[in-house]
Parts: sequence; structure tokens; C-alpha cells
Amino acid sequence: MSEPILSVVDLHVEITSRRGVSQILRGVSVDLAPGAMTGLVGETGSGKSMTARAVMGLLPTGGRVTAGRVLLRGRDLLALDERAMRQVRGPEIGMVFQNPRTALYPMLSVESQMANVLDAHLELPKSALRERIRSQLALAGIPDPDRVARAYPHELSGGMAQRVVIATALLCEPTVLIADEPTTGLDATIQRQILELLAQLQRDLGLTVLMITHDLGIVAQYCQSVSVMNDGVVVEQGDKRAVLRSPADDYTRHLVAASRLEDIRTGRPR
Amino acid sequence: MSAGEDAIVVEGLHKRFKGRRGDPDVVAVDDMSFRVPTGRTLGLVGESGSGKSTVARLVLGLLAADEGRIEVLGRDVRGAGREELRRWRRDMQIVFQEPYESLDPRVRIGEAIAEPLRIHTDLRGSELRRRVADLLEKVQLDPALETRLPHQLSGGQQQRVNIARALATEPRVVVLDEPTSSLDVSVRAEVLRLLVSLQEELALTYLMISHDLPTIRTVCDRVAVMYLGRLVEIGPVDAVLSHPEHPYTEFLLGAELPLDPDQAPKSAPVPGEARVGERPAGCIFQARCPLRVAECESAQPPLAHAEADHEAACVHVGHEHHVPGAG
Repeated sequence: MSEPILSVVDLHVEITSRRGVSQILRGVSVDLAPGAMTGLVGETGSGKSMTARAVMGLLPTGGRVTAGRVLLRGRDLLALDERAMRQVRGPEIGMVFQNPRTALYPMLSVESQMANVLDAHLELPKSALRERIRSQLALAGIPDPDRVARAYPHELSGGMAQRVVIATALLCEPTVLIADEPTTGLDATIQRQILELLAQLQRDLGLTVLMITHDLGIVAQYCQSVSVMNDGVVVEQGDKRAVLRSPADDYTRHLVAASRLEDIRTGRPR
Repeated sequence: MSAGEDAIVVEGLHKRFKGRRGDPDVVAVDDMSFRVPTGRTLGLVGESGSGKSTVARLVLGLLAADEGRIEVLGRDVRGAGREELRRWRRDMQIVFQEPYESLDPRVRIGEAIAEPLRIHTDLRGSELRRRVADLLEKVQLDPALETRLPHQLSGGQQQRVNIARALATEPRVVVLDEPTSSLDVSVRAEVLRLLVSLQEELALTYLMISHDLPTIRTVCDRVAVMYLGRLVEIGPVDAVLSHPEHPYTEFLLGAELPLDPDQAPKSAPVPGEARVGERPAGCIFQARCPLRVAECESAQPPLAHAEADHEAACVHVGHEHHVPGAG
């Protein structure tokens, strides 16, 4: 494997709440190979989303990195202050979250919120800004960028809203995209469209993608490699074929079997 | 009712919801007919807006239909009064998608399961408590959990409690409305295993709503595919999911992502989206269909037999046809 573009190294995160301190991540290491889509798989509470939030410097209240490094082309993001991180989020690492409806601000048109993102990072004349927004929307497979640019989030279908979120994440041309359950909650045929779009963007733009998902089918079809998380640690990682076909870890084996829904019927003929 | 009869009969069902503030009405269910034999499972699949959850509520009399016939266990649900429906409810129950939302957060598990028993039976005191303990055991939960509150249970345990509640009054028909779609995959498998074994033990008839084809394949005998309120295909699970006759069913299957990295999805992605409120004169699926011909634009094709018990509403039924990318 070529030198990873992003490396999470032995990351430890704890969360302090009224109920005490809990170790959410206990030594997570993940490497993202340039231009590849890497799956980060696990169930509720496994720590997969927390890993993404730690990478982006967006831990929830009470969350704290206690050890480890997040290296983006060798530079430790955990050493950066919030101001510097703001120049990482967007221009270097884009993000797509699960529910496109909550990712978009309901009171602003698509164009206005995309313009806000651009304004925060680049100084573009108005016409170039308009142009850039429309070309990004088209890049995300939106057939009528002009209409969608003027629309408000509630006027968009779930699939269209997720395309807008993806277009926004790519506005500042990041090289890494973190997608946290980007298709959960979307209808099956729309999920397939969005995954095809992400795979196409990965190929065409040479994007490096971290795909956080609970769905091993997404890993099998769209990722190149995968890391499996359980209870705050990575229990297995490697090429997707190796991991899915002959899982070495007990938890991975359990997850693969459960995903296949094996042995549920006890022999009633159909 | 003896085996071999139909526990659920639905014919010519229609339901429309009034549009809000001048919006056009939404046709949720448009001429739907199906039967579920006693002790069997019919799966209802479709995407959001397909009307599958509405059908479930109509069948149980939780919503009033506009037209059509609904018979559950030989009883006319549409003709029934409020009081009759209430009495019948002990025979026809429902398990919803969100396990936590379905439980009162302040009511302990034991009491939650006892509630339907108090309403529908004469069980009280130690008999009632024994029955609650039995039910907890039936859904493979430790009877000691009866003193817990819902938030102290995992999602899978909460859903088992909902199943125990639904089974408390010994119903014969149970509607399962996406019972595992908010659960993790390993929990999904356990809950499905439980539902299958309960059905075998208690001869339950299931109407199962799901958008998850692996779940349908595992649990159901027959499957009905809905698109924007219309039944587009119905038949035995193996036939429909191995030899789909409707292009929409093919696309649903194509959207399924094989767990084997070297096995490609069964078809290319279908373009476009289902638009609720868009009801063309002809076939309901024509806007997205790659196999559209002139005929499709003029009249909605009726269900046509591909096999004796396998029907699809497509002009191409019985002819060799494949959507792009299908193997």
C-alpha cells in the first residue's frame, strides 16, 4: 500500500458525563490509502462515528482525546487549534452525515448556504461564486442545478438533499471525504444512486473516502479495504475480500453471519 | 378458523389522504388486493410513500378505508364499530418499528406487558404475574427484567418486550411494521429468529412490512411489492425475488448489495425518484421505467399471471424482458 494520506494512530477518547467517565475509543488505528474508499464498520456504540468526529475535531461536549495522533499527510491535526482546524474542515477534509435534512439549514436556500461555506474559505467574485455552486451541484449529479440552487431544503427529496450535502462537502475541493452513514434512511434505489455517485467522485476526483457504515454490503461493493470496530477498538482490518471471506476475528465472523441472516429458518419447507 | 383458510383477505382497497392547505389529495393505497393464509407470512415491500404502512393500519382498522373489503379472521373490519374493533384487537396485534417509542418511558416492563392482559382478560394478581413471566420467557428475556424501565434495556430487548406485549392476548394475526429496521444487524438476526420460532409455535399469521429484502427472504412465504400505492407484483418469495416480473421489483433487487465482493448487484441503478402525488394516466412506474412502451402511457396494466400464483402489473409479463444491467 502506498503511503496513507490520513492515519489515525492509537487514538484514545473518553467522554465525561454525569454518569462518570467512559472510554469511548481505546486505541483506534486506521489508515486511509490515497484515492481509495475505506470502510469503517461497526454497530451502535462501536465508536465508528466518534472516530470520525475526533478526526474532524468535532467531539461532543465532554469528549476529550487522551492519547493518539491524527496525521493528515504527516501533520498531526490534534495539535492544531480551532482556527487552524477550520481551514482543514472543508478545504482538506469534507464531511457528509447521515441525515441530509438535518445537515442543511432550513431557513436558507441551497445557494445561500453553499455561498456561506465558500465565503468562509475563499474570496470569489459573485459571478464566480454562482458558477462554482452550480458546477458543484452538477458534479453531484443534480440535473437542474439552477432550480435546486434556488430551492429550500424542505422542497428537496431525501436523495436530492443528500446530493446537495455532497456538493457542499466538495465545494472547497478537499482530498479526503468522510461519509458517516451517508445512505442510512434513504430508500433502496436512492441509496444505490448515492453510493454510485460517491464511487464515481472517488474515481474522477481521486478522492480518498472514509465510508462509515453498518452495512457490509456497502463495504463489499464500494470499498477497497475495511476496518471493523467493536467496543472502541478496531478488531480487524484489511482488504475487503480477505476480511469478508475469511474473517479472522470472532466479532467480524459474527457480524458477517448476522448480515447474511444465516440459520434463521429451522427447516420449515417453503 | 381451520388451517388452509385465509386469515386476512383484502379486496379492492383504496385510501386517500386529504391534501393540506390546497395541496392535492395523496393517494396512499390504490386498488390493493391480497390474501394471507392462516399461519403464513406475507411481506409488503416498497419504498417510502409506497403505502405499505397505510395498508397495515387499514387491515387492523386503525385507519378507515375509503373503499374495498377487509376481512381478518373472517370478520368484516370495515363494517365493524369501534367497540367491536376494540374487542377484536386481542386477536390482531401490531409491532412497530421504533422499539423505544412504542413503550411508555415511565412504565416498568412487567406492567407494560400486563396492561393488554388487564384490558382484554380477567387475569389478576398472581395469575397475571405468572402470565407476564411466561411471556417474558417466551420472548427469551430474563423474567427479572420486569422491574426495569424501558431505557434500561437495549434496543433488541425493548423490541422483545413489544413482541411480548403484542402476544399477551394470544392474537392469531400479527402485523410487523419494520420490526427490525432500527436494530443493529446482529440484533436483527436474533429478533427475526424469535419471530420465526414464535410463528411456528403459535401458528401466527404475519403481515410483515419491510424495505429489507434479506429480511423478507428469510421470514416471508409470499411477498407483495408496492409502488406509489399500487400493488405491482405479488407471489411466492422465491419466485418474486429470483424471477421478478415487474421492472420495479428488478430495480429493488438491483439495489440490494451482495455481501460477496465478487458478486455484482443484479441491475444498474434506476434513475429518478418516486414522487408521491404524481399519478400519470398509465402505468404508475412509467416515469422511471427503461422498458416503457407506448401502451404504458395510456392505461395502468392490470395484474397478469406469470405463474399460477405469481402476478405482476406490467405489459411485459410473460415476455422475455430485462432491465439494463440485469444478469
